[in-house]
Amino acid sequence: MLLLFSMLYLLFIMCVALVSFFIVTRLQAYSINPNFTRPLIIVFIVITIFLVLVNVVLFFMIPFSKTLPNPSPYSSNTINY
Amino acid sequence: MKSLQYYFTAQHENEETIRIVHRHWFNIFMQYIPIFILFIIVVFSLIFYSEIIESFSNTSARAIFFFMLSFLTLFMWIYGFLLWFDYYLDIWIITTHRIVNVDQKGLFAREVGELEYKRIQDISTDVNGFFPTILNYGNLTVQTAAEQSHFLFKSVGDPYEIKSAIMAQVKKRRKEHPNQNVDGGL
Repeated sequence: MLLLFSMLYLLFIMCVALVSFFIVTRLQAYSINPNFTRPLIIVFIVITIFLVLVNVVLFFMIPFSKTLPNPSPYSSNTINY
Repeated sequence: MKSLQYYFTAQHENEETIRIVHRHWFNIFMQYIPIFILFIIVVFSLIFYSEIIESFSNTSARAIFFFMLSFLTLFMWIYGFLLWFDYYLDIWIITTHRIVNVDQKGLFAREVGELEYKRIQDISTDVNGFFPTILNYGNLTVQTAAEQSHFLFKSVGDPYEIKSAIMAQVKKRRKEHPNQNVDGGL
């Protein structure tokens, strides 16, 4: 389960990175006013990296071992006869 | 009319940019409303963080709470910037030679069309509704003699003024090239 969540999360981060990359390259290629878009691209990159880093740190702060259901048959909620 | 210091690819020699037209700000404002609502939810969650956290008895729920807020913020940021990206790259460029229509469709599709003034047959404006009337924005349609039958300036601010600017260029062109009007154009 943990592996599955990690893989899904990694996929999400890669999508964010890909979309951000294309936003930056398309803006650079098609903007007719580079004096306006160049600082904007820098601001976008900085804020995106910051938000992604915060998100990644918060993801790894989730205690998955406590969060995920315990598959053990000897959990405290079961009554063994 | 004063030329602007903009440059676009395929700009002709001696061609000057007269005006750059984007969609009216109200058009993109309406698209930002869901993001504003999400932003308010995030802000209120942070303001009432202590009340919300008290109801969580374990650390994993708190960690998930902050992770979800961060996830939501990242999503809002990327989606909001994509909306602005589409708005900024959807432009109409009025130059001394022609009108260029650039239609950005998402990240991976883009249509560019151009219309020379000699092919313009008719220009009409259309301002319909309460908000368009109050905020003075609407559609401007340029009928052409080209393969593409009309050019549409959609949801642009002050369409009457844009129409005047195009007409001025058309008349100027007619004076400079009196024998080049095609198919009964303006």
